[in-house]
Formats: sequence, C-alpha cells, structure tokens
Amino acid sequence: MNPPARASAESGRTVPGRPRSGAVVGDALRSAAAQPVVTGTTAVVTALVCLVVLLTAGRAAAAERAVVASIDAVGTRLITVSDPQGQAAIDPETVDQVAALEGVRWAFGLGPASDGRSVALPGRAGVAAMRPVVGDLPSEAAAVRGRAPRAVGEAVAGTDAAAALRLVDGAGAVSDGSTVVGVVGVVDTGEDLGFLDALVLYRAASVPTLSQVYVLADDASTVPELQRRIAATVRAGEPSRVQVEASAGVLRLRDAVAGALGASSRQLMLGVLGGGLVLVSVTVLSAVQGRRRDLGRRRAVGASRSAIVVLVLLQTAVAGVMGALVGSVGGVAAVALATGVAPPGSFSAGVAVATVLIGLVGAAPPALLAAYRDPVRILRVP
Amino acid sequence: MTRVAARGLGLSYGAVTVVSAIDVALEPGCVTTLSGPSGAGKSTLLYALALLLRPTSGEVLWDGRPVGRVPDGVRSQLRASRSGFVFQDAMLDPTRSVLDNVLEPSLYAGVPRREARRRALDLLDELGVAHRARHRPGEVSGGQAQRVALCRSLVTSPRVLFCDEPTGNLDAGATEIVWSVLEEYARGGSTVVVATHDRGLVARAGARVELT
Repeated sequence: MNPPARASAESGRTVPGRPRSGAVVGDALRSAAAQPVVTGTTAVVTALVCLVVLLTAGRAAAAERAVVASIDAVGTRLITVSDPQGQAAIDPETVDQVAALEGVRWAFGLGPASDGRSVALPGRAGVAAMRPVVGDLPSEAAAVRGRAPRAVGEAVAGTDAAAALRLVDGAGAVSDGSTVVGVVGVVDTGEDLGFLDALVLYRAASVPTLSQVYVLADDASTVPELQRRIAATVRAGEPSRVQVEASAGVLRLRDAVAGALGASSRQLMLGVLGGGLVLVSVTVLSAVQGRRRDLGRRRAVGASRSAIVVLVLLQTAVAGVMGALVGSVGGVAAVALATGVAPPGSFSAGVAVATVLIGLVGAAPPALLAAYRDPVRILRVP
Repeated sequence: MTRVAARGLGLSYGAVTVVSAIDVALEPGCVTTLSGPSGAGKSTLLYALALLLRPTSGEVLWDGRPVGRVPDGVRSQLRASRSGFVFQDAMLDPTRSVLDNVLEPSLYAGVPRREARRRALDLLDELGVAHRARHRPGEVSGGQAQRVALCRSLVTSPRVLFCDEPTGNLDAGATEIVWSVLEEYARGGSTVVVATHDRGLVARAGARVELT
C-alpha cells in the first residue's frame, strides 16, 4: 500500500488557515439536512410561534387596519372650506389651487343654492336645491344612472333630489326660474358625502363665488397640516370670514383607536415571542445535549468555540427560516379566512423576521454551552 | 517536521492528580507509544500533548514553542491545521456519509473542499474503503470504520498524529492494517504518538514512553 499522506505531508500541500465562511455555511446546511428530526422540530416550533403571533397579534393588527380604514374612508380626511355668512366671496379658482396642493386627493366647490323644479311636471313634483359645481365630482359621487355632467347646462341629481323631482329614468329638465339645466344622470354618494344626495349639481358658464369647497386628503394623519395650507391658499374677497374645518373629533378618535389597538397588538406579540424564545431555547438545548459527542468530536478535530456557536446558530437559522415561511403563510391565510382581512404585509414580514431573530437569540445560550463544554470529558464517556 | 514535547507536565482532574511532572520528547520519523497500566494517565497525557487539555502545571511544546496555555482559538487552529486525532472508537458522525466524515477536519483547517475531497478519496482508496465512501457509518464494519477514522485524521496531511487506543476494538487483521498505516505515515517524516496497552504494538514501536 502507498503511504497515504507522505507526499502531502512533505510538500505541505494543504494550507493551514481558518474555516472558509462558504464552507461553514455549506457544512451547516448539510448538518441541517442530515439531522431532519432536530431541524424539523426547530422549524415546527418556529412555525408555531409565527402562526400564534399572526393568529393573535396579527388578527388584532388586521382588526386595527379594518377599523382605521373604516374611520379613514372619507370622514376623517374631508376638509370643508365654507362661507357661513355668505360674505366671504370665495373665488372659484380656489378649487384648482387647492386641488394642486400635495396630499390632496380631490377638491370641488359648490355655488349658492336655488330652488329647482321639474320643467315637465311644474307644480306636481317637489322641489330640490340646485347648485353650480366647480371642479370634477369625486369618484365617491359616481353616477348610478346616466352619466356625469360634462357641458355647461348639464346636471346630475342626487338620489333624493331625483325622487323629489320625479325624474323619469333619472333624466329631465330642471329650472329655478332663471336657469334651466338638463339632468343627465343620478348619483348616489354614500354616507360621507350624503349631503349631495338632495342636490341637483350643474355646470354653469360662470360661478361668481363659491359657498363651500370640499377637499379630501390622501392621508388622515396629514389633515391638520393640510388644513393650515388650504387656509393660506384660499382666495376670497373677505378671507377672514372663510372657515376651514375638519372632523377634529373623529381624527382624535381615530388616533385613540389606532393607538389602543396598536399597543394591544404589541403586548400580545411580545408575550408570544417571549414564549417562543423559551421554546426554541429548550428545543436547541435538547438538540445540543443529544449531539454532545458530535460537537465534542468536532472540537477535537479542530473546531474552535466560535465555529461550534456558528454551526448551531446557522442550523437554527436554516430551520427558523423554513418554519417562519410556513408559519407566516399559514398564519396570514388563517387570519384572512377567519376575519376576511389579512394582516398588513409589513406586519407579517416583520413577524417572520422577528421569529427567526428570536430563534437565534434563544439558540445562543445552548450554542455557547455546547462550545464551552470540555471535549475531553465528552470523548472519554463511551 | 513537528517535534512534540512536554516539560514538567502535570495534569489534574479537580483534586485528582493524573500526571505529575512528566518530561517527554517525541521525535518525528517513527511511531512513539505511550503505554502503562490502566489509570496511569496515557490518554490524559495524549490529550494534553494534542492541546485538548490545558496543563495544570508545566508546559507542552510544539517545535520548541510553548503552546499548552495559548488561547483556545489558537489551540483549535493548531489542532486543525497541524495535527490529526484517532479515537479509540471511530467516533464517526452516523448522520453523514463516510466521505463527509473524512472531510470534516478539512473544513476547520480551511482546506478548499475540492482539494480535500480529492485527498479524501485517495486516502479511502489507499486504505481499501473507497467503495464505502457514500455509505453511512452504520453500514460499515468496525475495522472499516476505524480505517475511515484514520483517513479522517490524515485528510489535512497533519505533521503530528495522535492516536488514543486506535486498535483497542479491532481484531488482529484490522490491527495490522492500522498499525502499518501509522508506521508508513511516521516514516514520511511525521510525528505519530499512540496511546496503547497492547504490549505487541509497544514492542514494535520506534520509541516508547512508559507511564507507571
């Protein structure tokens, strides 16, 4: 038989050095694959922690999102510029200027009201307020019948106004005595812009002054700041008589609800993650106890303490990532099925990352214990 | 060539002194046996010389440099890059293939995997267990397992080879194979130290340290 290592020993072909990081990662992956019970148990524990966090805190976060979204629908974001005494003379150009502000979703203005009656049924139908509109009607006031007014003299009626004027198929002529408009559609505006349902809104050739300008902010949190910027933008004959208002009470309620639900979610999540940390720690501890001879042998053949720590942590990370993926997908699906609302994506991703990190923190003490064990004591026990 | 020596070496487990004030010098080029009755401290001395135990007193020297008390990281690096270790039972990882077991020390010595793999396959071939490379340790015999363990200890081409009762669990045929590999490796210029109670092997060794 040839001397197995003579040539290499003499030439010094191997290069003494430290472990290569790629090789260490590869070894950890192979170890994770070679020990499916340990890897699987850690992955299952991580998946369960992830799942429980999402089913508890995630469900609360989904509820918070739904409640806040409901509050935010329009009500908290709506800002009203008004002329309560009719003496401010708000310039119609204000609408375009306000609509151009950053953070404004839409803006439209309404001129003074007049009594409109059906031209086809004078005296036999009711009365509805007619108001000239400046700017585009918002998507919340989409036509449920007919279409939106495009040209001067065209109008839409709110559902209540159309009923009062007894407009057949939502179309017909309406007059206030001096102006005749053709109703081309009916709009149903829903709760937050419900005041439009009683009006006939028409395009006029010119509108001398506006009574109100309605502005919707992109985000409820920007409303106070936007309120100040709108007040500075409004053009009016008597600016001091202009009022710029938002639903301050609803805004406070929104912040209070979001804060209370957020705090509750955080406490719940911290509790579950804390429990998960203990569970992962116990799982990894039992795993390294079962691998004493394996880790002792590695120390004897040259693994440093840090190499043992890295090995245990990498194996935990591999199992943790697998578990977090399964747990977060399952958790999001379960919450969506149970509540109809999925937890926010950032929240779910954050939970997955936090679970993996918690797993690593939990694995650190057992990893250190394994690294600082005396290899000789392990190797001498049969 | 690495010379291994101990100077006034003392080793204790708690209050129990196992080795006291020993001076030894192990030269390369031949197999040196550490022998003596049970409890004489053969394995303990071997572990200390292999930098697995920190001396209670005295010093371990490799190439004249004191290394027994250097930090753990340095001792690990020396073990990985310059020494190999053969245990009494093969101590193979049952979850990994024979080839992966042989490759294990090369990871910690920083040897590129491709180079280590080539060397591992050569060693397995030379020791007659290449056909078992993809098997798990549970699928090979005791003698084959110890040859695999020998391959593992040689995969980094260490300058010093420490063996703790490497033939203790083997029959005569397997013992002969292992011993001949150790002798050949020593003749290549390496230091080979074998702790054994086998009087036959002690008689064949090039140098002997007798503990009492």
